[in-house]
Amino acid sequence: MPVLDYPISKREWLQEVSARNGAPAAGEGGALPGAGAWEPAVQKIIGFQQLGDDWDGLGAKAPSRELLESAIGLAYMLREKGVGSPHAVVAGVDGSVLFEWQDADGTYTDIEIVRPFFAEVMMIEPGKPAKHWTLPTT
Amino acid sequence: MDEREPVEDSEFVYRRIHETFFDSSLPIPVRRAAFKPNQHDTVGISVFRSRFLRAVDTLANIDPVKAGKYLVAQLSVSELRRLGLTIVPDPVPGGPPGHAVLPELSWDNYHARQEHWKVILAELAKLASAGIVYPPKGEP
Repeated sequence: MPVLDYPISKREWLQEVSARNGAPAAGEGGALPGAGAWEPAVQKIIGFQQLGDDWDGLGAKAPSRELLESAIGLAYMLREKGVGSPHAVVAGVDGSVLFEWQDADGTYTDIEIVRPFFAEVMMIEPGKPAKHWTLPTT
Repeated sequence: MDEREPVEDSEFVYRRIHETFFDSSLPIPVRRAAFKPNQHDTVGISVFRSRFLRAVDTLANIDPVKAGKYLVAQLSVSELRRLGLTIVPDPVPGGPPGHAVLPELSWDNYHARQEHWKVILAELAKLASAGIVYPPKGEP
């Protein structure tokens, strides 16, 4: 299971974002120190800076810089806690950012950053009811 | 054919899927985000009844540059109803024919029961993953 029996405190999350000092532009065109296996995911989030409103031609909202900074901060926190990198990272049509995992046992998990410093988690394990919780946990 | 006729169980509908929500390397290639409403989806997300048009025609009213970034999935109406969704004809003058909406997935309705609908979106992603009809297989 990729996630997420780890507490995610708002204080840690804030610290992670401020430590990167407005991260989206920081890694442009180069390696991302400390990102490890999460580097492709972080690079993808950085790339979402280029999205404008209506990026899909059907009225999608572009993610805000603050939300992207939060998404990058959360990515680094999860990496530091040993969570494997997501199988997909996408920008949502409502300005959100989604991390998604699809495990070999059929478990599906996603984290949706819906506003700065707030994310919703959904985990669906085969044959069990879906679980939902939010981040930060404390 | 009248676009306002009620939708029958035996019908199929098309859903446009932006390429960002598709990754053929994954077990479920379509992301659930392909079905999430945006702020403009006040009456529900859009689908098109296949009896009124071809899959490619659903892209007719999108900026041509952006339209090239879309796939189209075909979904069974009976499967959508099994998931608790309704399909309401909603013809749009000047738009592609056969437009319909899924009112449960309007912006407001989605957020009123978000945890419930998120699970349904994951099911829709599975159905769409098995039903990509455009571009045809073998084309990029």
